[in-house]
Amino acid sequence: MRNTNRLLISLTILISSCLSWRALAQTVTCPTPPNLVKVNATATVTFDPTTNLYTYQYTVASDATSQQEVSGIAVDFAPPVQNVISPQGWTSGTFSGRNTVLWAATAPAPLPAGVADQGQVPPGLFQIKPGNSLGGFSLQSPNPPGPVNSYATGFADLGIADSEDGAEAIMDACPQSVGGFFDLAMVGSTQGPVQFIPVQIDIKPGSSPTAINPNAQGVIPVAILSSTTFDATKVDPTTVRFGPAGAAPNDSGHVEDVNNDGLPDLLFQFPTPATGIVCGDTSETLTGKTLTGTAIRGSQSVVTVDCKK
Amino acid sequence: MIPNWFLPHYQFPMRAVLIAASLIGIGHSQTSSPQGKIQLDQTLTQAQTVAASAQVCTQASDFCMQPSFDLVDDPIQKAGLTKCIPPKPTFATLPLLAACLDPITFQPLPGAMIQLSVQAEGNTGGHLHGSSPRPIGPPGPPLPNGQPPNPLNPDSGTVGSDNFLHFTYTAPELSGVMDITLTATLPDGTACIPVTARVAVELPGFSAIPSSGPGYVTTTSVGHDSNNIFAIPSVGANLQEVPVAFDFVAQELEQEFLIPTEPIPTLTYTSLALPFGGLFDVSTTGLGTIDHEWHPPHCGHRRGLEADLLINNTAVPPEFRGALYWSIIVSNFTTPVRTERPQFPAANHWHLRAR
Repeated sequence: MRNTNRLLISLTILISSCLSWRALAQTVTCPTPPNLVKVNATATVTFDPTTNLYTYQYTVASDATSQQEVSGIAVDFAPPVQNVISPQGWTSGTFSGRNTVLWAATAPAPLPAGVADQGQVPPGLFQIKPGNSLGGFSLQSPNPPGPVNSYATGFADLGIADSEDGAEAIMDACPQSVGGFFDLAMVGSTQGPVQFIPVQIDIKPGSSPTAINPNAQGVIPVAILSSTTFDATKVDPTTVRFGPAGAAPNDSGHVEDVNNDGLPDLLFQFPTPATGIVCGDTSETLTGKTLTGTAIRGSQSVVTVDCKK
Repeated sequence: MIPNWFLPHYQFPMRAVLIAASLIGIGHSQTSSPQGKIQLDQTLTQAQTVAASAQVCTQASDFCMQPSFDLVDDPIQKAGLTKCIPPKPTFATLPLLAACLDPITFQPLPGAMIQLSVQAEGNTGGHLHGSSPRPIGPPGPPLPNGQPPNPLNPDSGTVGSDNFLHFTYTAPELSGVMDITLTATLPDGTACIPVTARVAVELPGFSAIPSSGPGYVTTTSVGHDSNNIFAIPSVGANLQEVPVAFDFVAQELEQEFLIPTEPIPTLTYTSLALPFGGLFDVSTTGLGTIDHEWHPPHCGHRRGLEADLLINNTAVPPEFRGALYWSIIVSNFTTPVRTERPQFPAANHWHLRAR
């Protein structure tokens, strides 16, 4: 009986040891995920007709409920982009193999006093604190604005292990906190350069050349022409804009075959003073979106008249 | 007059024998004795056979397959090391046929009793060491006779109604060349000439990054020769992009006086993967000897997706690490994980993995 009890006790200890070793070996402490932020990236878009470039300026606001300081912001774009500018202490770059611009708070704060250097990344000196906002993020593109994804990450310390296999175990076991930027970032929406559908427009249908008096007080009729590959009636009239100043139409569009090709076109009336057309302009542009959100853009050459003083 | 030996019909018989010999496959030579043969099992579904034969190996071989991955059962686990946490164990298995061929007709002979064995060729697969028996198959509980589990299934038997013995070979987790040897006896006691087939176990297509380049150098793991700087080509390219991006960002910060003006560190990579992937065993002591042959650490570093980046204070001072971190991120790597070993601070590094 005593030997049996000893055997049972030994077996129990052995099994417990095995189980606790296995449990210990499997325990992994995951680092804090770098996405405990609530961020809004607001875009202000302006168009320069002399360069044909849109300038996208972003202001990034971190909600007061964010638990981390914002250290990375990214925006998708349809290429090309140029003149990417960052605020002080931030650096910009483009992800390898992907059309996304990244701004990162790379200028470091010194390690706090008494904190040993263990290979960690010091926090950025110019990260966006909860409840604060930061502007100065901008880029330029010939592509018009449309909805694009924005991404934001917060500052969190890297995971740490005291062994090679421990580090690998963290990578395998903690996908929610150790992963690629796009796997971890908080995703939002903002305006960015998007591909557009080129469309034909007819300014003042029936007139050639297309003469515009910039000083007139009336309206300028502009038709979006349908083609075999584009249905103008699928344009969202609320998005249509015309001229350098992006004038909205007086109406919601009138379906009419203005060029007698048998296809229905969409005709709008734009108040001349609101278009921003000035003497000397040689072409004017109409932009808008389809009902499914895809940008459209069309231009036509014009001559301005009654411009002598 | 044209000599008889020049005329085509005098050449034909010899040529026919040589052509037939070349068509037979592994193990045939001109002999009057029956000879063993090992070939790919074509009786599988087309998809399985295509998968087994599609891979083109770099190591010279008769057959080619990938190593097994992420196997949980590692009975020779060294104390003090975290056991690898595999996402999904994958056994790499090669379906084969064994037979004893008639020396005249080259057809498989009925009733042949076949014995199979497998042995690992030393110093293959990028493993330039071998002081302990090299695994020939996946780890697992030892057999009742104390031997490691048999990767051949079955490893012996009498051929079936098609005069073949259908068997499989399961690869170990490390790359290299395995020799499968067949011996056989016919029912009348005639011995078949043994044959050995070489099976290359590897992940093909890896390439070495240059040992140094703009903004970086490589250093080799202790215990291996300079053969652990291999990766899949796109990952290797991204590793070379990191120092370029890092240099650009660091210079910007210095020009804006946001960090002290000092030489921008040269990055040091080590421990990418071995030339043919698979298990990458290293020294745990840092003393130059491989003390943990054929086993983790390095649960990863097998698929050509990972690298270690030395990061102790003298390698990359703290003021540069933000620039380095973001350069890694935009180059399509995941968030690094720090490995800090107080006993070997010179080996402290960031573990990088391709996204």
